Amino acid sequence: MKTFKLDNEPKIDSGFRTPDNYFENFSANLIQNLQGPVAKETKVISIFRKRKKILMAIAAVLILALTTPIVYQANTKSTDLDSATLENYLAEETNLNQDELIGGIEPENTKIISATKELETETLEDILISSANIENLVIEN
Amino acid sequence: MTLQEETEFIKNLLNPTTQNQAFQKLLHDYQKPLYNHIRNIVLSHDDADDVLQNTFIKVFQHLKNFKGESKLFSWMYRIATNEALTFLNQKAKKTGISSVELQNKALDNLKADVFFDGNEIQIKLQKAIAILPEKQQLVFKMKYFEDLKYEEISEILGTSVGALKASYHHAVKKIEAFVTAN
Repeated sequence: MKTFKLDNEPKIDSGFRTPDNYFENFSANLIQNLQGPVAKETKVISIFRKRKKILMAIAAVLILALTTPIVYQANTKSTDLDSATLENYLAEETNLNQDELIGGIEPENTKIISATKELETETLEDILISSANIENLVIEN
Repeated sequence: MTLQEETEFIKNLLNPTTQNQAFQKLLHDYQKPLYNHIRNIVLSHDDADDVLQNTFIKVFQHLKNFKGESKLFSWMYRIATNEALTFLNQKAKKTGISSVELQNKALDNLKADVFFDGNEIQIKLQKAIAILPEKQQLVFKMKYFEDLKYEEISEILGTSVGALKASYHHAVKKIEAFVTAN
């Protein structure tokens, strides 16, 4: 088999041809195209521009979600009664004394409160006895 | 064209009053070599026509960005090469086949192409080129068919002259082996 050597062969042409007057027509067509709309560079739309709308929508939803509870709380008047109001009402508007009130609220607490009351009385007596200037205090009151 | 002449020519291309005339000269000087360069890559005349149009449109649109760091000639060749390769990749993607399969298909169609009058050895040479890696194909076509100097190819492809010589040498060896075996 004969070994093919590129340098030993006459130069091989690519064999590609063009239609008649191709280059003349090409120039004319191209210049016509360039003077038309093609000459205007295609407007490039950034993908971030499309995303911007989505991001803004997400941000709006987040702001609404975060601020709604705060606004709702600020505009709603609390209906919870605080203990001072309740105590004042019961003291002024009812005929119940303090012991009845305590017993009525929670019966089992009565024992604890009574024991505390007794202890408080004894403690008070001890203080009064041990106090040196008890007479002065009695006189003053 | 000397560097000074080229600078002047680019100025004329950018100046609206001289632009038309300068662009016509640019077309006159470069359309044939660029067509041959593109045709060697895409093989079919219709595809080469499309790519050549896109190349000149890109050149026209980006002339204002041309910084003169390279020669106008190599800048335009670089655009043409990129356009041709991108065109092939997109075509392969559209048809759902690989670039190699697309090239083989184009080779099969060569015989029926009215704008190809190659004989048996020319078809064999094209088939031999098709087995080369993309870079070697480019180097071989630019050196062998387009008679470009290594320095010019180096500026277009951004590869050193030494690497180009090695690429061309490997390409020739593979082609010779292919033609001998077939």
